Amino acid sequence: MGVSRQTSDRYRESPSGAVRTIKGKGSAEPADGWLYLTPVGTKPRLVASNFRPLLAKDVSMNSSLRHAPWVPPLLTPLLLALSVWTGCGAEQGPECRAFVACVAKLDAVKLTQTNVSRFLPEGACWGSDKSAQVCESSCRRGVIQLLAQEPLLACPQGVTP
Amino acid sequence: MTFRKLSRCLLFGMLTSLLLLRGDEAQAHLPNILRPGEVFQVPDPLLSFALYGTFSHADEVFEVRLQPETPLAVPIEIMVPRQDALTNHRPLFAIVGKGLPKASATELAQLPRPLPDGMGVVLGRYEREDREILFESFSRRVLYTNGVVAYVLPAGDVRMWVWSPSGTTGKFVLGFGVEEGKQDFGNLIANWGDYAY
Amino acid sequence: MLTKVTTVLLVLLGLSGRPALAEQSATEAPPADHRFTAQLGIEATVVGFSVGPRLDLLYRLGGPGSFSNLRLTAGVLVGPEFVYLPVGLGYRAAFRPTKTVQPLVGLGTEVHLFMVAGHVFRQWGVVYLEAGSGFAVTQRVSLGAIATVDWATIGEPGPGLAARLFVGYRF
Repeated sequence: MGVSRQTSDRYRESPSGAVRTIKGKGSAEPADGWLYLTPVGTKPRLVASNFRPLLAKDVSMNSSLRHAPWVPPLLTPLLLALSVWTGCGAEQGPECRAFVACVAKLDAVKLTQTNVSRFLPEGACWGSDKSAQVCESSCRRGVIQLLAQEPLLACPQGVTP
Repeated sequence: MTFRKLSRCLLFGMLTSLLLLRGDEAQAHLPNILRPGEVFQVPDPLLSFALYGTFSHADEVFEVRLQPETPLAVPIEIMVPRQDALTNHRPLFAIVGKGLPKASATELAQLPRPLPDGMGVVLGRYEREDREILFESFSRRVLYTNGVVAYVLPAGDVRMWVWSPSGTTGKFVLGFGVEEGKQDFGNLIANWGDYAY
Repeated sequence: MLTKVTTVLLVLLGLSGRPALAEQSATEAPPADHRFTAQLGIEATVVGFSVGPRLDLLYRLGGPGSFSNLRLTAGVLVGPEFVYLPVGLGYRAAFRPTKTVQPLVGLGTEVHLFMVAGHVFRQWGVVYLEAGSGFAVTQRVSLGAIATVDWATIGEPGPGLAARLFVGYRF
């Protein structure tokens, strides 16, 4: 299961309690997979939501369930209880590929060997969609942080430079 | 088949299937408590931790230490419960260690303590005035976060200081790592009051 | 672990109570055939604190002696960090309907919606187990208490624990 930008669970909220949006490439802040809300006057308005009814395809652990899109949402957890939970995972994302490459360049400069095992394709980052989203976001900011610390590094950034 | 037999089949079939759920093997941050004036030693920096603390006074400093054998890349963020009373509560953290950038005068002024000799510092930061919020599934909490960043920690003696620059008080959670620990329900239950509310 | 312990307790409850209660309920059926029960409760969640009303609608499966019920439930619980909306479907075994003490066990599935700033912030599916007891006030009215554990199985994994006091009415 890949990292989906539709299943994020992070929002931004302004100090006044209004929620706002920053989304997509070219905005003030690069898209990082989170979802945002925007203020209209003082009343927050939802402009992008991760909400959708739970569907059978959410049950990715069991192939027989995965191919049963007719299963009503409320029955899906019940059916899941009758299956064996085998867990699900994600694939290494582009932000973390870029971060790992940047750390390799830092290592080459400093003659160190940084442990980046969390972010490698078999690392803990990709054990679930949630951890994958956290890692992708942390990697995107991590490259920026590395470049701030070592301005001479020539690191390409990920998909959202 | 009578309803009673059907009920029995339903009940026991579902109970059996529930036993197959591997909930206790779910990966999560290992929770622990931070107390001001005490040093929390991270036993294994390759595991993830959620470290819970409470600022009772404005001048308190919380300290975490770890000893990575090699430089270590790890996501770190600081979180605050999303509650009305904590809207302006924005604790900050600093990563202190040898090999980190030398502190600027501005950074030195921000730090709650003088830097040990030979150590550099990286300050956590809030990216924006508005605040990212997240849902933590194991404790069912909604938290503000400063925005998770993957930092490269140097090998050897690394310290993290948490303080409240604007003098606000209240709870915070220092998140360290990815979900890499098996949930310890005994610890969770024993310290539930600290973790959950 | 919590889920497993509760499961074992539920099995033991079912095993110890069922044969005698089955005979009992067959001979001491309620005088009127009330298939439906509505229960209005005040629930507090311990994992992710919130408090609020929850309504259960039970439909008895089978004849007057049957302890099996289909359960529909919905609630609105308010906490310091979110508003929690559970909606669920399940099975409940409610024993000894003619006695003062009326133990019950059940399990089923719920969808939980967590609302923040007026928007659905998180949703997931859980499997729940419940156990408790009603206490008859009149033939139709009862008071009771229920404890529920759940485990989120769709979405992120995570445990849940809640307690509820209710007043029930058969009709």
